[in-house]
Amino acid sequence: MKKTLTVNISGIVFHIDEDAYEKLSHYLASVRRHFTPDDGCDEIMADIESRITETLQEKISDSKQVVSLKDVQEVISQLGEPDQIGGEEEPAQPAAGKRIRTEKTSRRLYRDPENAILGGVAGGLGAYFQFDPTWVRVAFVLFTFVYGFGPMLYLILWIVVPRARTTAEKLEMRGEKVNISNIERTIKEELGDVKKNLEDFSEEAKESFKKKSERTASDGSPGSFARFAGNFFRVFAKIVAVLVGLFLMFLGVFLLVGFASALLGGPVLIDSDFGVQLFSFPAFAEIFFNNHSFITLAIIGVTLMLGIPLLAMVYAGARLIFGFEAKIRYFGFVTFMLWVAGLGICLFVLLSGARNFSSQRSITEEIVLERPEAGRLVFDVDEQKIRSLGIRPGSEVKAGRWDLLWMTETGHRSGIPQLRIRTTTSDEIKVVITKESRGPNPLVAMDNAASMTYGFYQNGNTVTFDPFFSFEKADGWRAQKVFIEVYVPENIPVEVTDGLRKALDVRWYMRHEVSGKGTEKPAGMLTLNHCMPGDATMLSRSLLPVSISKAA
Amino acid sequence: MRKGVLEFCILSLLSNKEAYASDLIQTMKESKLLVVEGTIYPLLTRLKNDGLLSYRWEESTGGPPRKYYQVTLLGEKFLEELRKTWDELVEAVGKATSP
Repeated sequence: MKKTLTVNISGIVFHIDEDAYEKLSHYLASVRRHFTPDDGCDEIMADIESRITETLQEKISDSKQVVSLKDVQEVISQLGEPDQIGGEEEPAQPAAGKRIRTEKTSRRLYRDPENAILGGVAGGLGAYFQFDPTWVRVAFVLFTFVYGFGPMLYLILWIVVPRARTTAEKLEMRGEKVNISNIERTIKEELGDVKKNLEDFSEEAKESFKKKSERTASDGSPGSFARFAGNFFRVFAKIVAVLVGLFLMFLGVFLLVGFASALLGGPVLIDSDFGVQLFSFPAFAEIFFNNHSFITLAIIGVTLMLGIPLLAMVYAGARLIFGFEAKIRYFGFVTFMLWVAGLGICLFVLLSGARNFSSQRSITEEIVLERPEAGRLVFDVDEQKIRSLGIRPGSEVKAGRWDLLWMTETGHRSGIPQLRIRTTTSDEIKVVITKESRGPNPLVAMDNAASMTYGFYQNGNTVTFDPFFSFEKADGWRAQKVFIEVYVPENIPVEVTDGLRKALDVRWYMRHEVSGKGTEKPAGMLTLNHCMPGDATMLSRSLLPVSISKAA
Repeated sequence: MRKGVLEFCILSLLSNKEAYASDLIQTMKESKLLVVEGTIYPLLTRLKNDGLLSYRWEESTGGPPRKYYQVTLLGEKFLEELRKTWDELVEAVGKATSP
């Protein structure tokens, strides 16, 4: 005696043994598991159930009214095991791992449509010479610089070389023998994802039908024209992308080279050794920081903050040209975080640097000059010192008026002083020199101001000013400035030489006329070459005696 | 590969004459194209979902109602394409196997 159940399959009633029922329902459940709702799971199951019904109906007769386990097993073997029905793939291809390259036959050059960015020329050449097509593309790009040879060759090959259309042609392209196993393999690869192919195709077909129905009235060949236009546009877009990519890449590389040379620059701020002005970032950082770890930090920060966008530019250009995908996960995120870190470092360094400028102090000295016995008072500049800097009076020094700094050979840093000439009602000729500097606190600011050196000397009627003031390299740039105020009694005529006006930031505020605006010097005027060290009246403790002894 | 061929066969069979699943199974079993019957159902559903096939219901005596499949316009076009591929394959095979 056996217990039976009554089941309804596709609307037909069956009596079924309990063990058979369990087998069947287990079978149906496991078949169902092989499909997703996207596959139309319910529909497939309904179809299968109705097939089961049909098959079972054949097994039932008046003399045998109950479905037995044996019947169910037969039905199952007829329909197939769940993975035979639902398994998308065929049994794993044993050949996949050991894809032996079968005996070579003669290769033929085709364009490879499956490996194409423009026309598949590089892909075909790659297959022909067994190269990675990327290198062929790189070669084409490089050949662009040989009289535009690359694009020309590409276009010719594009026109001349046929496209590999059929399976046999594709095999020939790869130099594989056209035999059954190879064809089967290739077709498997091509038809591998039949579902996808089908979907793609049905999409395409749907669209073309839509288009057809749209233009049933005007019968012509707009379809082929549209396709041609579409192709043309695609190729055009590709070419534009490649050009933009090239531009980005070369600009990026160019800027990177400049950036690297600035980062690795020597101790000279602006070096013009190779006919190019080379800016040195470390030297620039040294102006602000006397602490070496800060300089290193600044270099790291700037490298990250500017280097990453430049690298990204080159990378984006390369992607536009070669169309590859980034394979590394979190690559963009990590790069971005590094850039943010660089930004943070730069901000930190900037803020710390700004602290060095928080206080300002100045030192003022007053010197009374000798009255000239007769004639005018001449203000001149120490031309020899200008020459010792390697900077000729004129435009170069003028550029220095924008607080531009340069280094003297003795390791000092220098700046351009401001000279103001005013008339005074008193009888004395007076020079007031104010040295000003900033620092992290008043004490250091004062120290910095005190260590600045500036000098001038009087020789008879002539007062000769240094063309620049200087300060120790170790002090760093702290917005040091020198102001010179000259007070001249109203009754003494004054001449300012051209050299001085070019070298210093000179202005005068006089009630009477100042001569010397012209280029000629009055005859008999003393120049530096004539003056003897003994004649020079040292007026400033910080005067550098070097130039004077040289003059002698 | 076999799956592509199965689709090809189903479409050509149905383009001749509309049929329901069991008819198809029988024809294809006779020509040894089908190992297990179950395979055909997911295929039919997929083809139908892709708009290559359509069906109508028909009552049957004593059994569950039957789905009669026929090829749509889209299906005809796809079949043409498949036929072309198939011819290419046959040509390639012929080329390869002929001495």
